[in-house]
Amino acid sequence: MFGVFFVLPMLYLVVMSFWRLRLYRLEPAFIIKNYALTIADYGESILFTIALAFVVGSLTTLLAYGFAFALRFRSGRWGDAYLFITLVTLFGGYLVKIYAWKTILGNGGILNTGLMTLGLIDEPITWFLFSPVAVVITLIHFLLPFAVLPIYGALRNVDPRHLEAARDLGARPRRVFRDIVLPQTQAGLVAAFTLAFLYSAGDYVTPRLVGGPNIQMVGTFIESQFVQRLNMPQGAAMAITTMAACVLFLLLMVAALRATLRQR
Amino acid sequence: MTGTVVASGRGGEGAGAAEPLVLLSGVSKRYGAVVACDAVDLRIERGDFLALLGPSGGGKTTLLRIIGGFAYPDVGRVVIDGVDVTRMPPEDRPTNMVFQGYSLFPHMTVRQNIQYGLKVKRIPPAEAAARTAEIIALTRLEGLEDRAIGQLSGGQQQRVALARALVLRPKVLLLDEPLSALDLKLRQSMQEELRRIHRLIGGTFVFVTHDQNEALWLANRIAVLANGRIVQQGSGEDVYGAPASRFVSAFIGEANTLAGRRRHSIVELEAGPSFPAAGPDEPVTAMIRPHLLRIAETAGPGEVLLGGRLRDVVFLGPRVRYQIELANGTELAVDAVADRRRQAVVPGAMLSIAVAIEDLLVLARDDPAN
Repeated sequence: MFGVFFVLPMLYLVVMSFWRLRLYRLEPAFIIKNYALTIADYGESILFTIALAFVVGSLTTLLAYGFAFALRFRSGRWGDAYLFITLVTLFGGYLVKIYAWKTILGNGGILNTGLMTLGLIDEPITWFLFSPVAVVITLIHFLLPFAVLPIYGALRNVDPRHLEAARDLGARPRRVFRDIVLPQTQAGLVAAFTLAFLYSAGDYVTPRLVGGPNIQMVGTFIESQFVQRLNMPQGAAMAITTMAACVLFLLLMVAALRATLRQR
Repeated sequence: MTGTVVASGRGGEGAGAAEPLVLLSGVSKRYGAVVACDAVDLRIERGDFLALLGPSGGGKTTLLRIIGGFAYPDVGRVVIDGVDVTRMPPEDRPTNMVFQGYSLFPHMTVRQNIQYGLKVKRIPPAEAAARTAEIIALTRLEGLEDRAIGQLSGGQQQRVALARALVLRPKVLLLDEPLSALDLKLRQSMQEELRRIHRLIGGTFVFVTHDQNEALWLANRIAVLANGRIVQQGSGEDVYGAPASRFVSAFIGEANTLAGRRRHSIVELEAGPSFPAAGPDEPVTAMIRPHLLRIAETAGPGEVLLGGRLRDVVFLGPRVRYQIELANGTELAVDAVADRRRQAVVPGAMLSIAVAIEDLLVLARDDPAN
């Protein structure tokens, strides 16, 4: 199953990235020109994409952890209800949410009119929308419920009696969190960050709709290679390069996380 | 660590005037409509091995948690070594607990678990290593220091939990049903271990149990709790031999109860015999332990006879239990040592049982505690 639906298409993509486009026709070959072009023209945008995905991943994971923690340890009887509400928000599709943020962040949107009514600003802030900021906000909002779930799952497995035991041994609440809760939720943390990071790195719809004209997310460029220029080899090369860069970055992040949380 | 010092210095008059290590005064705690602790007064002396004994839901675990700081009383005070700790959080108290289920940190090794408290208190590494080695030797955990918690047996986990608490040298060690999860043989060996360790380090231990055998084994003082109240405190002999109420007599050890009436300081049992017992005229219950009854044809000096039919004989290893139904319908349990001298009796036979009058404990029947 995994082989048929994932490995074979991937292999096809890899093979195609070495082909060339001649007169709008695919021609099997073995050239590295596509990769060379990727690094030369789009290298900067790949780095920008990873940076933005990192910001989204980090903020989403942080917010998701806070929410999941409150859900697990501070909501008492309402815990299940809050969880249910979180799951329900998953049903709103991403396009709906993107357009919602377009409305909220725009010049005439709630955020700007609210700030102006409060007298904090005189003119609407234009960079709320059609900017990297808008992309980050929209992506965080969309990915939050996805990130909450693995973290909540990991927190469920933390026995509250361990927290009591740590306090009995002299640890204050912050210490208890760092020594007992965090290490046991590593897997959930990694899952949440990976999800948010990878989704953001590959997204092209959000940047196209709220990113503005100067947005440098590589997803949009890959899309245009495939759809507008019909240059599939080039698009494939860019996709493979981006994937490799993301995986490398992710491995580094996870290793760093593990090293920080290791018991001394 | 904040807390007001309540009393400093000791009375020079003698042991009786010394301040107890732990003093609970008027401690009450309720959870919603349930009263967990009801105006509890408790003194715990230095060096005590105290058992809080009682049926489930009797308030003993709540009391232990109040001493440890995991619950705050609604009313009353907790003073440890002269310092009022009533509202002090557990991390600041000079107590440590061995939790039911041990609560060992699953992501740490044995050594890391034991050293956790030392690390939090920032004890220098050399001293920490020395204390850890000392406690590992005391709890016989040598060779297991680098094991993961999941690889330990129940008994080993118990000892790690004990080591983790003791390495911090708490003024009071609290144990919440420490042996309940162990099988019989392991429980017996752990009982001996705990006694040995307590004697060796001379600490003050308080533990909660619903098992009266455990209480008698381990503790030098027992406080019996029911419905959030301490109904009797004393040594094992006091509580077993002179129970203050029918509840206590039935909870610790087994008890036969015989209804009767006292008039002019003579008790007349419904089962027949009468005997002198000073006290007011009132309905009474006479309590007698099964092993203090004797199957006999005649009564010796100072004894009375009861008559009934043998219902059942149960072989229990070191003893044999005879279940007897008296003429007036009362059930009686008689324990005899299972040696070669025991009589051969058949269920259905009529028997007489001798009981020494001074072994009978007469309690007022109308006492609400009964």
